[in-house]
Amino acid sequence: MAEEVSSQMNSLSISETNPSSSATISLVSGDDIVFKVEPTIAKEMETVQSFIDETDGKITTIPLPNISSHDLPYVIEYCEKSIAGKITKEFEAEFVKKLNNEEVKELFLAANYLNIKKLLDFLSQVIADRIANKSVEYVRRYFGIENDFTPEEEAKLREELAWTFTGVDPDDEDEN
Amino acid sequence: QVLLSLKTFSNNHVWIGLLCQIHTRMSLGKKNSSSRVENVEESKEELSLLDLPELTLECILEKLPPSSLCQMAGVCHSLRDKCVSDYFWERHMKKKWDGVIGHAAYREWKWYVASKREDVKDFKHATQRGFLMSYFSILWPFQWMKLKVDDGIDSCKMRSSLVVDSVMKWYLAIETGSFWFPAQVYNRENGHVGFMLSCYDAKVSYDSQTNTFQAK
Repeated sequence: MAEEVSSQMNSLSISETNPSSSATISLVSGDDIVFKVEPTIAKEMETVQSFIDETDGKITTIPLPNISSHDLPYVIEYCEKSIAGKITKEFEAEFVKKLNNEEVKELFLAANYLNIKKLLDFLSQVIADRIANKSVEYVRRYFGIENDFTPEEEAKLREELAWTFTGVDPDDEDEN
Repeated sequence: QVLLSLKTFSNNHVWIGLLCQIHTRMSLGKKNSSSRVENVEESKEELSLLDLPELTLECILEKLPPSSLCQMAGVCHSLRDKCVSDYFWERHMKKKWDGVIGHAAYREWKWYVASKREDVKDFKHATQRGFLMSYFSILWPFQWMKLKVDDGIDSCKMRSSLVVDSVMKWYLAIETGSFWFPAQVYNRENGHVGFMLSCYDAKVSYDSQTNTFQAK
């Protein structure tokens, strides 16, 4: 496996130069990029931590086949802030501003996979905010869900839930 | 993959194992398209909300406002079944109406729901009787017709996608103002001896447009 250090690592100030690297944990993304992180970061990721615990800390290189090198830095950044107790409304607003819909979904899956409760909670709020007051069609597109209602069923639902079909935001087509 | 199987066996959070499995399946779907050849949609790498484990999906749904939860119910069958769940609606009920809706109103609602159910039974019973009657007596054709019509309307209601006795229905009945419930109305009157407080029993319904109540 080619040990490569992503350029994003520097911006995350993860100690690639740290000589006592025996203590660091190597997270290997699905596309084989290695991210070295402090054990405290790994602790935030329950899935990773329980793996380390199970092997009595002997294994410090952990493959994360479901997470791409594009998403992992975001996850690490969030965990770092979380440890530092610097998760503020401002940070979260900035954090989410960088992410398009697709990235939010991918990060949500990553957080789910790694079992990072805080990130999962935060991202589910982001997703909820992004689909709140959107049309049914928009939600279907957003999540790639096929409409499996018959026209009759759909008409009935619309009738029964008529009050919610007023005040729906217009769909913005330029979402990513 | 070693990580995944290990976790499945040894972690006391059983559901984490489940999550991992689902993820493995999803990522396989993405990477190895041959395993999912039959489904062209999958190769678009689009996340379907329905692939998410139950608990994770609930994380999102419980953060939606009532109107959006209703919208979600209109997306597909599987989401409809989830979104009408009492679990979500009890939260909304508590949040918005906890301080207002008391036992009297709830009793009134229960009574209303029960009477609806009785109606269903009565109509069915009556239709059978009416059917027989039409054979034995041509004097009452209108009654038979009427019963037939009622039954028609009623069977439509029965096929309704919402359960009558659900918290969602209860919430919507209040929110849309279709449900009138008993309340005491206090009036401050500006009389000639100063302010006077009058109080009377009334039925009230909510108007979500103006966020006020109407009394009758």
